Amino acid sequence: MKMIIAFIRPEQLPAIKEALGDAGLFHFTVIPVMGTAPKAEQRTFRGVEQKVSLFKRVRMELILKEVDVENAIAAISKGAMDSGGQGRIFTVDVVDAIKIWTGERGNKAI
Amino acid sequence: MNALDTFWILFCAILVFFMQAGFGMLEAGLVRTKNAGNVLMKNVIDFSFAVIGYFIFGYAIMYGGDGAIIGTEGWFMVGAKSPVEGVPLEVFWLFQAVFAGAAATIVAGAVAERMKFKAYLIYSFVITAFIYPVVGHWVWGGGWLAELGFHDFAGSTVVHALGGVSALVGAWILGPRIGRFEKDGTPNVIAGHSMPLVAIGVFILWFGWYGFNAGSTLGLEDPELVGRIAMNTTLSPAVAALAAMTLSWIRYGKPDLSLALNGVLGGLVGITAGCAVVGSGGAIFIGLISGLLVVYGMEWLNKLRIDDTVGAFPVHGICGIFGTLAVGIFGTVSLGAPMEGLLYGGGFGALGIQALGVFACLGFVAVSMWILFKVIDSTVGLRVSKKTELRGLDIEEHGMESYSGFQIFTTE
Repeated sequence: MKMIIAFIRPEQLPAIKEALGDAGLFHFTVIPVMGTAPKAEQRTFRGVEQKVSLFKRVRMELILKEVDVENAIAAISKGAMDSGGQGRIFTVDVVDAIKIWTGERGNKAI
Repeated sequence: MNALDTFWILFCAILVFFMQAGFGMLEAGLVRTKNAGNVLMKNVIDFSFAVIGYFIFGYAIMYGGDGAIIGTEGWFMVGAKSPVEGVPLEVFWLFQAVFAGAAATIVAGAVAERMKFKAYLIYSFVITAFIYPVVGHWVWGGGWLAELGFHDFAGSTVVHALGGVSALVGAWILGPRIGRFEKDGTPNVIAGHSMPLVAIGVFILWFGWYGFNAGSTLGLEDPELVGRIAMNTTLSPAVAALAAMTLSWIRYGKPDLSLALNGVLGGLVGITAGCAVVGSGGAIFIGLISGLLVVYGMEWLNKLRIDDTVGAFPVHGICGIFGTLAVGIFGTVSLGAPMEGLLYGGGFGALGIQALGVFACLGFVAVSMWILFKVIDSTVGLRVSKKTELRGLDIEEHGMESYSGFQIFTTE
């Protein structure tokens, strides 16, 4: 079992959601987060300059069986490329999973 | 000079001005957080353009003489005359200018979340400087429809259906927001971000509507008339709210707050044409039908895959048309209508003239708005880029957030 953590921009979410759906992957969690970027953005507010260095980002988390991992990476990449191309994907090993209602463990609990 | 009449018109003009706040809150609440600032910016600027456009060209076209098609005297208000005796020209101008502002603002909600700000600037000047005053002249300024006996007391057609049809043309040419319809045409919900803002917006509009309708008497010499208008302006939206709520309860299983609030506005728009010449029974019936039309109108737009963000066409367009026709059914000469309505034994004469007026005004509006939007589309462009739409018009067009510091999903 692996967990995929992807950091994307909010405006990329619709395309990535669609790509994951097309790959048959419907279970994931999205969390609104703030993240830095290589360059601060210059904005003005009421005529005063404002350096914005933290931007709205989305963190996606998917817990998957080993066989689905490459599919998920391909789908997220495709969706992200269709909507600007930014983002990072990380994978993490998952030790165990438990479905509370049935007590099932491992792959069955995903 | 008549101080009491002057006070009444000035007071009502201020009430109508406050409707801008109502429109602003209504539209801000019905869009997502990422576009709230943009839609408010459009509200501020279209009103500002409205009064300037109405000052330079609008008043002259609307009230500058008895020409059948347009008036031609009083550009920049130089040499302009007030048609109301005993009331200063400035007060009458203000009352008319805030009406022009209301007509312009209606469109902002329908095209919200995707129309370019630059395009909206051009639109708002043209509609208040030229399109609204032409229709206004036909009906209120002594033009050809006024001569025929067409009756639209406070503007179901002149203000609301004009705005509603412009909104429909705009929303149709722009196309739906990203994600509003599936590829097979199934509609998706893009929920507004604040129902409390929508509710206060509707209450403010209702509050301002007393100025809109009762102020259109242009004086207080007939207190009974003012009283009847105020009562009708209360009964119709109340019944419309109940009708829209009940229909939404029957059709969708739960009483829908958003549709009940739109129902209030539908009832207000519906009674605007006939508020002076229908009795309480007529007002109740007009409210009932208006409330139902709002709900069915929304469904109809979904079937046509037209994305009207705030429901401006069902509320202002459909109820405006119905309200104007209703004068030909419920209006009576004993209350001041130019002809007896259908229910009072006047036959189809009054209804026919009302229908002709609606058709002429809205035909002119639809064609001129279509040309205007097409010209804007091929010059500065009508719609924002896909990236701007997804990221939000606040940040992309104005470089600011409406809810800075709040952790909110900007794209779902």
